[in-house]
Amino acid sequence: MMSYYVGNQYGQTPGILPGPYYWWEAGAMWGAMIDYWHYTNDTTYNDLTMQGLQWQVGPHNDFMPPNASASLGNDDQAFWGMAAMAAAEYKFPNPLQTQPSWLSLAQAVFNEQTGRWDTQFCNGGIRWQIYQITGYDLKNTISNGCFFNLASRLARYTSDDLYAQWAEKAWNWLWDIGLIDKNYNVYDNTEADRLNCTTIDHAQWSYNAGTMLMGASTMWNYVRATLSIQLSSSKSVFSNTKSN
Amino acid sequence: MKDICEQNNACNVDQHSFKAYLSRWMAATTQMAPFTYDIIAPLLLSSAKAAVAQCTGAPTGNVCGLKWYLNGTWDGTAGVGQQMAALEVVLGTMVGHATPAVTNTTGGNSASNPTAGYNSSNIPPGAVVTPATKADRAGAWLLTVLFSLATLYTWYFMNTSSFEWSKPTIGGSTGKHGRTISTMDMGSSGSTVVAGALEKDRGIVGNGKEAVLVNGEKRHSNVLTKNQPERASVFSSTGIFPSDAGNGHRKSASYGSGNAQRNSIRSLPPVVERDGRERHTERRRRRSTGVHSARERRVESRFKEEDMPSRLD
Repeated sequence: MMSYYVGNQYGQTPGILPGPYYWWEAGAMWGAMIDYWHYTNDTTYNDLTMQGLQWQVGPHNDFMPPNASASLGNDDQAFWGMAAMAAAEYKFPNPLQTQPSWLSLAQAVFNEQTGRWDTQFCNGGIRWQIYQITGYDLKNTISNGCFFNLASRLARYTSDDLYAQWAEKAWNWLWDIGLIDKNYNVYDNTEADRLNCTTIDHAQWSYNAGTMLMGASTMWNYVRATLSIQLSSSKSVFSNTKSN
Repeated sequence: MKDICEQNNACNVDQHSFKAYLSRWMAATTQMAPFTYDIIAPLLLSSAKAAVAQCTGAPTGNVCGLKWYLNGTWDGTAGVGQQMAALEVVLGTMVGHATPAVTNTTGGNSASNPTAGYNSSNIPPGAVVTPATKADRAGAWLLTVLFSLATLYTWYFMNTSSFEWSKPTIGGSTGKHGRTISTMDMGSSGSTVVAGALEKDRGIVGNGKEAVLVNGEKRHSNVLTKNQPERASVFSSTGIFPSDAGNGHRKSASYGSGNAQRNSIRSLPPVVERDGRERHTERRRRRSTGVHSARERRVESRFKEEDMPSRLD
């Protein structure tokens, strides 16, 4: 896989793949390289991963580099954000002090996408595209699902319940609009501007189910963990009461 | 593990990578919700075996394709997505030996910046969620994960063919083709075709009741094919993309007419369409859908032929 990557060669741009690969897939690839390092302990590609991710953070440290804006979707940004999240979760080496931390990059993506939650149509959801280009009229599962995925993991990592509330909000929207049906089939997208999300594209892609599964299991982990803390603290209250 | 575009060689460059993410997230799920391990681990293992078995492609003998169901036969394609999918599913089999993701109370030390991002002061307030009790939420998410898994398993089972289950029964008779996949309706095709098992293709892709016939001869869907004329055609500016025509139909009107050309540039057989709704369906099937013209226009303009990945050169 890495033999396709030429971003570290003279005259090339670090972090991205050559055509025909889009910007987002490089972010996904760095996520794969973090997985690779985490599962194998092989550090061969760590320097390239560090350089690639940090090179593409953009002027606002949010994975929106101007050079990618021609096709920048919320899902695209989220794939980079999730790679940074994995770096934080797996304790990938921290970047330099002058560079944005892995966690803050994931938080930046999350923060900006909450600002794109759109209640003008469909009673919520974020759109596929960030800018008004083809696909802006769609609200799709991978964009909302990766937002859900990222929010759940931020909640778990930081124990900040705000993230969890957004995760639940995203899940509930996907459920209410019918992108997840009562049998937990996960569908692809729905049109917002003309149809107000009244019709669903019922194509099923593997990654849509995958991102929902990841977020749901993370939420289970998070809620169970906070629950056990509450239980243990309430137990101590009871035992204190007893001893008193 | 199989995506719906595979058997008709209709996966675009994005879609070739999707199974990487399902694999990644299935593996991580076993650590977030350990009760899922016994369900997920065998699926990852059988998929990894199937994936690795077909990573025999030229020129190095270890290039991976995407059709893991071909009983160890490379499908003739190569690319970042195919490699990443195989990599992630193999990594997933090691998840039992890996440390779970940490948090900021279990060793995570990545610095937090809750207001990171541009213009984050304009974030609208979150919907006021009447907080359920923690127990409610734990139970709800537990059920959610369980049901999601059950559905995923069903989907997986329906889409798995002979290699992964050792008996070539799946898809062997009419009506057993993963009805959960609404876009696959093989029921009307009479003699059914096990996905990809026959290179002489007569597959049907459709959405619900509509069907798009895909007729063609043996071919490679390799976007990185070494076939020079095809490569040249991909990035030439000879009006392949609907937008190149410059006659104003940059929006949906162009998708239908562009189908045959778009497929042919990746040496796919022409898509025969019956009516407007099918065109709509086809447009929507691209990575989430149809941003096609915008994105391909960008590729077309930004990359010249010599910028193609040199992997196969």
